[in-house]
Amino acid sequence: MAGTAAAHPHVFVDTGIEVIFDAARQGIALRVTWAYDDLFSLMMLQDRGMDPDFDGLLTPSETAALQGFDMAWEAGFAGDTYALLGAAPLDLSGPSDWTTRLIEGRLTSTHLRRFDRPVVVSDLPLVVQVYDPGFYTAYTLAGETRLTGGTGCSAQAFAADRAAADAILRAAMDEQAGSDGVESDFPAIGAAYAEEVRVTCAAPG
Amino acid sequence: MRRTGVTLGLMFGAGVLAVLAVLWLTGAIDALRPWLLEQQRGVQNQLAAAVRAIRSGQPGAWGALMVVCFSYGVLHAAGPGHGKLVIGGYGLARRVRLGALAGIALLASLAQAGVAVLLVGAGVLLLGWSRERLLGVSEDILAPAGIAAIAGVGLWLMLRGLWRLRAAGALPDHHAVEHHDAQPGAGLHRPHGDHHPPDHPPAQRPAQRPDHRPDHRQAHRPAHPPAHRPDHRPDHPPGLPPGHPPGHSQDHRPDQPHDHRHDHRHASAGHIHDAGCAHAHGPTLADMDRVTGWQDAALLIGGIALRPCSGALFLLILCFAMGIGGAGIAGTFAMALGTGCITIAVAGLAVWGREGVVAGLSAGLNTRRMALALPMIESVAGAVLAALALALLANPL
Repeated sequence: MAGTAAAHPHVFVDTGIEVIFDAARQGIALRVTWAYDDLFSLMMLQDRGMDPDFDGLLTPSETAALQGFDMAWEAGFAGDTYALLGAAPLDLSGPSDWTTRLIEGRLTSTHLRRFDRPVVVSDLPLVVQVYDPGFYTAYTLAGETRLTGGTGCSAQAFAADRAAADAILRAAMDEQAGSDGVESDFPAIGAAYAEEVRVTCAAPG
Repeated sequence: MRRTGVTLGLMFGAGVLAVLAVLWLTGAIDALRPWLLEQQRGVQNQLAAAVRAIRSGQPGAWGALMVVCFSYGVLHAAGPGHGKLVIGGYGLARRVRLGALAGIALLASLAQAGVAVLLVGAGVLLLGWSRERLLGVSEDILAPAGIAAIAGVGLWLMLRGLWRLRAAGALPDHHAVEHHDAQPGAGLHRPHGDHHPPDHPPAQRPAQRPDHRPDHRQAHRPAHPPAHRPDHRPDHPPGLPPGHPPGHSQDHRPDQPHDHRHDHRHASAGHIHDAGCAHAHGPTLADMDRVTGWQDAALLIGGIALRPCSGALFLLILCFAMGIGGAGIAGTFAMALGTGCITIAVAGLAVWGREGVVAGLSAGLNTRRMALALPMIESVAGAVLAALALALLANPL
C-alpha cells in the first residue's frame, strides 16, 4: 500500500469524503471511504484464502478478520488524504474507527481522520485532496461529499482535470500570496493531479 | 524532386517528434491522463473478471484474458516509462535500423515478462515469498539494476559520441569532402547494402532512401578498394542478437563518417605508428563498433527487462494462488506484447525523428560540420539518457 513509486497506478480507489462538523459548525474530522478496484480486492481475498467460491459474500469471521487490513500504515505514510484551509495545510490525526466490508466484490473500507483543532470554515474553503504522491494508487472522488452537521455549507468536487487543477493552483497561489504562507510548505503544488473537494460555509446567520 | 520529398518527409518526422516532446515537457499531454486512467481502471476490473472466469472454467475465458492483458500492456505502456525512454533515447542517439530497434523493443518486452515469470516462480513457488517481499525484490534490487544498465547505455553513447567527435574534429577537411561529397543526406553510407540486398528491403528502412543508393554505390565503391574491406568486415560479428539483422552495423551510418576517414587516415598516412601515432594503441572506432551491436542490444534489453511490471507480478501471484498459473504466464506474455507495441511505436518515432533532424541539419551544414554534429547528437542524447536514469536511480518515479 504505502508509497511504492510507480510510473502508473496499480491500485484504483474510489474515494468518498465526509466532513464532520461539531455543534458550533466547526470541522472536526474527515471520514474517508476507500472502495478498491476488483483486482486489488480479489488479490487481498486470495492472499487470505477468503471467498473461495467467488460469490462476493464473506462469512462473518472473514469480515471480522479483514477489519483494518489497510490501516497498518508505515511510518511516513501520510494517508493519501490532505486537508488545507485555503492554502494552509491542516494536520490530520492517524486513522481510527475503521471499518471494512465487501461490497459487490470490492473491498470497501472507511476510516476517520481528526483535525488537530476545530476548523472554522467560511468562504475560505476547506480543501480535501486525495492523491498518492507516488501515484501507485489512483484515487478518484466518487459520490457526493457528505457534510455532516454542516448546515449552510456546500461542497464542490474538482476532478483531476489539468485545467481545473491549474485554476485551483492559481487560485491557491493567489490566496497564499495574500497570506503569510511559506511557499515551500505548500503541498498542493505536488498535487496538481489530485482530485479535491472544496467546502465553503455561509457566514452563520 | 523525389529527394526533396523524402527529405521533407523525414523533416516532418523531426517536427512530429519535436511537437510530442514539447507536449510532453509542457504537460499538455496530461490532458489525456484522466482518459488514460479511466481506461486503466476499466481494464484492471476486467482483469479480475477474466481471472475469475478462468478459475470457474467459463468457456472463452482464456481468450478474454489474453485480450484484456494485451490491452493492459498497451494502456500501461502509454504513460511515462523506462522502456520508452531507453528505446527512444537510443534511437535518437544513433542511427539504428528500425527493424533492429523494433526487434530489441519487442525482445525487451518479452524478456521483461520472462523476468516476471521467473521472479514469481522462484519467489512464490520455491521460496514462499509474500507479495510484499516479491515486490520489494523487484523494486529494490531489480529495478535499480535495470536503471543502472540504462545509465550505462547512456554513458556509453555519450563517451562514444565524444570519441567520435574528437576523431571527427581531428580530421583534415579534405577527407570529409572526399568521402562525404555533395550528398546532403548525410551520406547514407552503407557499403554493405549491396552485399545483402535481401536483408535490406526498403520497406524496413524508412531511413534509407532508395533513390540515393545507386549514387552511393558509385560514389563509395571506388573509394573503398578491396583493401579496405577487412577493416569493415569485422563490423558484422556473427554474434549479433536476433534483433539485429546481419546488415545492422552502426558503423557505416552517416553519423560515423569518420570511421572511414579513420581507416583512410591510416591508409593515407601509411600507418605510421612508429612515428608517434600513439592513439592507435587504444581501441579504434572499428574495434569499438565491432562489439557495439550485441553489447548495446544486451544492455538495452537488460535495462528494460530487469524491472518487471508490477501489474504482471500481481497477475502471476494471483493466478498461482488460484491454481491457474498457466493463465497467469500466458497473460503476462500477452501484456508484454501490448507494451511491446508501444515501445515499437516509440522506436519508429525515434528513428523517423532522427532521420528528419539529420536531413534538416545536412541541408544546412556542410559535411565537415555534419561530421561534428552527428556525434554531438549521439553524445548529448546519451548524456540525457544517463542523466535521466541516474535521476531515476536517486529518486524513483
